Amino acid sequence: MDIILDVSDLNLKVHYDDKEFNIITDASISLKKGEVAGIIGESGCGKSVFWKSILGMLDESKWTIEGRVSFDGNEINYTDESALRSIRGKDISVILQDPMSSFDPIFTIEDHFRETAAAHAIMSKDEVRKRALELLTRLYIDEPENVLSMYPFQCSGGMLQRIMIAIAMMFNPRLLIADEPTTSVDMTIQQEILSMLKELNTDSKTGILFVSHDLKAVESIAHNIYVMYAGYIVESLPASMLSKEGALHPYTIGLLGSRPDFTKNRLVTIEGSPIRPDERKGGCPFFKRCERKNPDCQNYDMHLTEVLPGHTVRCFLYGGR
Amino acid sequence: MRLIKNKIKRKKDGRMPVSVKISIIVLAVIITASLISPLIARHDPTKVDLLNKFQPCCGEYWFGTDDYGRCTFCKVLYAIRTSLGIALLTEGLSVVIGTLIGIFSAYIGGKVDYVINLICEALLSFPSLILTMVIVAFLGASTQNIIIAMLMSNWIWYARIARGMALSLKERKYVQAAEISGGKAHTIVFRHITPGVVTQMIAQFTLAIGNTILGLAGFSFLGIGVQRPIPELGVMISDACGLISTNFMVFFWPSIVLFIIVLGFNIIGDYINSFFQKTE
Repeated sequence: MDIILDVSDLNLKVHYDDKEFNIITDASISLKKGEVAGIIGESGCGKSVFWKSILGMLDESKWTIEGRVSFDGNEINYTDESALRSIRGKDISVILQDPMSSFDPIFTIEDHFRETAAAHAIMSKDEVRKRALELLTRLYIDEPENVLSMYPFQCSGGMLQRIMIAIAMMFNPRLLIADEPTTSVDMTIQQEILSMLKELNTDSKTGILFVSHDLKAVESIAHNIYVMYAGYIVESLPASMLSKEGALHPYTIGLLGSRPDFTKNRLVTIEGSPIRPDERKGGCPFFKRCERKNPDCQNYDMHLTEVLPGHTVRCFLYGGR
Repeated sequence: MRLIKNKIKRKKDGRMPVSVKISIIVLAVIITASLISPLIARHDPTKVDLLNKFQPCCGEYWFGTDDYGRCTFCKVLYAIRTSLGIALLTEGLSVVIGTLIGIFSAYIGGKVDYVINLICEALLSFPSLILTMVIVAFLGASTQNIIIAMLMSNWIWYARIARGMALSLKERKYVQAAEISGGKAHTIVFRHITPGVVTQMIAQFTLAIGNTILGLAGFSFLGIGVQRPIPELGVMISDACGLISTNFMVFFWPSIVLFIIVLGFNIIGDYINSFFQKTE
């Protein structure tokens, strides 16, 4: 199996008030063809800026990006805007988290299909229509002909989310980035969308980068899971290992403990909220909230320790020197 | 464009105040009459006929004649054409130029945006009437120069509003979505940003047009706008000023027509503006 997305040592800094803040530090991810990688973490941990930096969507006057991103074996050149543009939406597509506001209210659904088509290929109206109908039928949308002539406000959130997936699948992308696709829709639609993504993954061998804070959703779809905290990938492990016995990092265990199940009455919480970039001093960013903290954690350099093949962790308890 | 069409369609469903209906009808009549003035006017508005000066309103001269025996009705008709034509032309050009510069400035951002913003600030620090007068003083008084001068002091307002709108639209999710799906910058600007800005510009245009008509008449009244013998409402009022006490009607007709036109445009502008605000 060949690797389609390889991010190595990605560092992301933002300039604000003449100061520089580390938003993402030494993040590495590799995604094989036909695989699903899940990124989980709380809000404000840098999940969204992570995929945005892969696509080169960040404003270069405010952000410094270091590191290497290869897509399909070729390194992405972020200075070549037109090459980037031809990758976006064609080879790498994105599903955004809020379908209701991701559609321009003054255009019909068909217009949205047509716009993406026009950005990458010369297709006649009929061809676009045919492809759109095909995709919508595949995503179980009833009466696709009618849906095409509807305006976004006439569709429900779940429908729009599926339409967004359909538009993203327009050119059979090799990588689909799903940014919290299940957060703004209700439970039943969540299941539908997850099963649809799984189907796309197995049928078309589309690699998926699934970004979410919903542990259950990530667990059910991903092969590999990356746990992100304060810009660090604190733990990466295969989905099969994601349990209280398999996971090592206290943060991952805390997340797992906060997941409802049928056996216990009270949920475990992680006290406090994620550390802000301007509060960070050095050492482990999880120090304040950690249950197993150790005075030496404050001097820990956050290096990566490989515990098992495919299972890495950044924690003093496992890699302290 | 479809959005505007939809809004107009929905506007028709809602109840329109009587004042707006009357304004539309009156303005429609006035504008049509002025457009076909060569067919209606029975006299040359510039032809001097001293034998018939100060005629009262009658079948031959509907609004009477002035101190040179020129038909006031024909003069008013032609004057509306000049006044409205110039006002609409300058305001229309201002909207187009202002909107383009505003959107361009907002989308490019950075230093370009900063410089354009600085120019706008500098020009806005003068009262716009004074600015226009200064520009005319430099260029000399003529029809062409008053258009240029008014254009130069009017586009700033539109540019600033367009820039503000475009800045807020730029941050919308769907603009981001279009960027993510690989859209080119100019497609994004024209498809997703411009329509939102244009609706706001129309609202602004309808509010400002009355003011511009009045402004133009004011400049012509002062002698720095349209020059004699071209018939224009401001020029006519200026000429008739000395005759108020003796021949009031010569003064009355151009004044009342100007009043009706400006009032009509303001009522319609208010209505359209409130309508756009309601749907925001």
